[in-house]
Amino acid sequence: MLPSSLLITRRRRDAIRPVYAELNQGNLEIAGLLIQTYADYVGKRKGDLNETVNGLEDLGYDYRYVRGLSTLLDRRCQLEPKATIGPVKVRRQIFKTSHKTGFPTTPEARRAVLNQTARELKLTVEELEEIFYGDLEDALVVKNFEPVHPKALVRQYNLSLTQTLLFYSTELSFTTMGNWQRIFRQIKWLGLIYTIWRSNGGYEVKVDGPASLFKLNRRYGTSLGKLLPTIIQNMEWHVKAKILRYKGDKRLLTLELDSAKHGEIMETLEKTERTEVYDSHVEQDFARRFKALATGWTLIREPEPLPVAKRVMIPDFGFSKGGWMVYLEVAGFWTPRYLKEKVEKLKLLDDVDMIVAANKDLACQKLDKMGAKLNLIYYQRRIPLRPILDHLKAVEERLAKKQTKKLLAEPLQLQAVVIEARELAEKLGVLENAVKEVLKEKVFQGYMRLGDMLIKETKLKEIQKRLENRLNQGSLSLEEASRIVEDAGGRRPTSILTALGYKIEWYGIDPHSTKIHRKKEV
Amino acid sequence: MILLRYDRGSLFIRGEVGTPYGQWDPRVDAFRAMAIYYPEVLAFLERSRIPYRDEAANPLPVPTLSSQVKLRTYQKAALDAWFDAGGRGVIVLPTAAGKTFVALKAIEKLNVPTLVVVPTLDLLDQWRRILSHEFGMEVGAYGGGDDTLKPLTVSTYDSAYIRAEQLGDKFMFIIFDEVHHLPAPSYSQIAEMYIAPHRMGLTATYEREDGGHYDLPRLVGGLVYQLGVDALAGKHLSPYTHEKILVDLTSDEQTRYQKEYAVFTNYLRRKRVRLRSPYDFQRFIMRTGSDPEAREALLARNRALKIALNSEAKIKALGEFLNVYSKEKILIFTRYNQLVYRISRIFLIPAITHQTPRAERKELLEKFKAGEYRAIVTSQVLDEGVDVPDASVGFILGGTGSSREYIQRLGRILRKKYGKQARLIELVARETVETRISQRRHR
Repeated sequence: MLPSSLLITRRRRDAIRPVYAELNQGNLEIAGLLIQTYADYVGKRKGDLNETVNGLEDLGYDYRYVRGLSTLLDRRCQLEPKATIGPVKVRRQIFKTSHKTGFPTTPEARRAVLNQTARELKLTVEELEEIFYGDLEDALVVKNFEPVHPKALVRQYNLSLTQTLLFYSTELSFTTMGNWQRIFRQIKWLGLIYTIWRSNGGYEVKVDGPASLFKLNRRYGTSLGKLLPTIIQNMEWHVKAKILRYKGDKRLLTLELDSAKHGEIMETLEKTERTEVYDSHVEQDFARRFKALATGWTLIREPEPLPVAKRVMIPDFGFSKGGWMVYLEVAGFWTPRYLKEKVEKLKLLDDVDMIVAANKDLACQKLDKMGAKLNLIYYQRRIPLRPILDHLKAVEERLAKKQTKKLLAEPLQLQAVVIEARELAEKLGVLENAVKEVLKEKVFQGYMRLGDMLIKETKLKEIQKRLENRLNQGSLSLEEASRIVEDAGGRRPTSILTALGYKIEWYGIDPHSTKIHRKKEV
Repeated sequence: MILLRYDRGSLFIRGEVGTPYGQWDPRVDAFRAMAIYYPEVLAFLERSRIPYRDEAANPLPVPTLSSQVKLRTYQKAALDAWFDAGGRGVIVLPTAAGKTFVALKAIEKLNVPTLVVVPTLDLLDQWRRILSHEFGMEVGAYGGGDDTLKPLTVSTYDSAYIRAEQLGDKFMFIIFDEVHHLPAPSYSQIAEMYIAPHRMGLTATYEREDGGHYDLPRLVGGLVYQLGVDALAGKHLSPYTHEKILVDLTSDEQTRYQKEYAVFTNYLRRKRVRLRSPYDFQRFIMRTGSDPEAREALLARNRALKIALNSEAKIKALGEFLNVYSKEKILIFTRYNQLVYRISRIFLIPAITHQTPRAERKELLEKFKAGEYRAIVTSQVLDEGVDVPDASVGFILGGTGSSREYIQRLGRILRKKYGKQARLIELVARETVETRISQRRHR
């Protein structure tokens, strides 16, 4: 964030936008020049650095741009006083002496006071003069400077400009992909209030503060500005803010930004991981162990928010399979009230299946009766897999039955020549087991079922024809027969060969040393 | 059953009935009111015999408070008027008339957790010292790096504003020192976001140039007591004289000044810009963002002003005066820190600016009070209400043209010292814009 005097904006009707520094050669050059200057002044006085930087303000660029960059670079400097003996102590001594002698109003009298003080402190007068106000900012020495890439600096400048403009905002709306948990946690931490609704298949969130209800005010602008970096850490985002400006009169302007146009020119240097970030070791440990099991369930970190009444719930994990989602919430610290509120929330949701893992050591009191919807498991140190796997298995069985019933009840149109249960399940967004059951019971006109695979009867005939042609020319190995089947667009050759009434005679374990017979020949 | 809760600077009212000042908040499905209306909401519920549970106030427990404070007649009158108004309202007393004592007595009588809001860090230290001295307890502070919460706490306006959400339900009494700061758009939210039913505003200057004081009755309570400088002068405060000394710039300064100032006036003439009101000036400043010439004109004007304000001739004149008043206690005010440090270095006079470490600032003021230092040179940080006792001579070397600032600075040296006349001496460069600023100051 920058001082508001350095904010450059452009207004068109009711739209307002910061004047961003493009990532062009000129802007990057001046950024590079500044970075180099700061690096060069390590070990030198801050006052001298300031003077040099002031000189760079008149190179034909907007001085606010140059000053904005140097404001950001100032924050990467560490300053320290040069003097070894404290200036405060030196001043105390000087003033003590000057009080005794009376304020010197001639250079000679002044010299006398300083001479006496220097003697008392065992310093030279020159040292004394240097230390006198050696702790003022200008006299401090740049001890350290943390360099930065020019591009990153300009991008951070653009982000800071935006944040500075958001100082004047009354509310902020955004849509984004992912990062939800952190965004909502930050909203809560910043003391803001959100409203969430569905839009275009995703969610749109409006953020303001409690007092926004009473009148337009910019009280939450700083907080809204602080939220921005977390939002733009996503690959895709869209932000819209209302900006309250007083220019003669009160005007409400709109700031609109999105990742496609502005994602490239802004970045936050305090970067956190874009990928999975775990809040605790417990969660990380759980994710690792679960993934190692290959259950067929996909583990999702921070699934999409679940709107509950006017709040949202973002469970820590989602397990997805066959179009179904089971949620897991890890409650580290919790109270019965916290869990009760959870249950209240869950009651409002149909079809939401949630497991809550509560830390036994951190339990405030024993919890016996909880709402029926809450699948509560306790853990100590690590979250046990067994009850979760049991739950998932039970869910899967129950779900498979339900889906089977549903699939049997409705007509299914197939187009594919060959299709396996796994593919069909994926296509229909249901469990594989459900499809297998359906295949057993349902007759598909024009198809033949081979195990959990369906194949068109016309295709089978075509394959048979090719095999017969080949067999008429001499003996045929399994290996070659398989190729014929697959070339014709079939799958699982052995199943097809068997179904067509061929027999495979093995002479060893090598598919080459096999012979395909017509069944009647045996 | 109505449930009242404090929610981040507002009153959260859950229940079937609305209350006065309550607005339906669709975001949380409940009524919400500004925290300032807490007493009104309670009174309404009581009056209407509506059952309610009040979880809004979370006051800190307070021990029994007692102090040795004895009020002067006019202080007593001010306090009575304030209590008569229901423990709300603004008291206007000239600087150094002992506003603090009126507040101390009010705290003692109410005996509730109290927050004192002050504009500067100096005042923060001063209030903290007085409160802990009078009541013999540790006093909390917010601002300048402190954040401790105690039944008696002092905060800067900035911290009270920023922390309103967390502190708003902790105090039943809130005192705004230099209350003329309160009606600003942001600071007024302090008054709105704290539930404290008792409120006291203290100031020497009730009126604001922007008319903001019209909002004070709502925020703090009406004007309950007022006493001007003239009513006290001579009796409780030492009388003062004010002299303006015109100083000629050195010829070199004169040349440089005129050259720089001409850049500015030429620009205005060429572009036909007229600067008649503060708004005109603001528009001109905004122009400097896009027009390099305007910026150069502004910079030239600032340089000219600086030459006049920091004039060598004034330093020389100041030196002569220091010789004349070699037995007096002296405060020297300047506009720019740079000049503060220059004077400090040349005359070896202790200096206070915003850059002065807090401990050193405290030490300097204490030693000045004790007479171990005879003078202090400072920029605007001492402007308001800081208790710098019995300085008898004040110098102004440049300053902005606000009449309030003038009064406050004056107040600083108006300390009762028997048989002594305080003098305020203003050093102004002749024939420069500075004379105009000085004239404006006396309006």
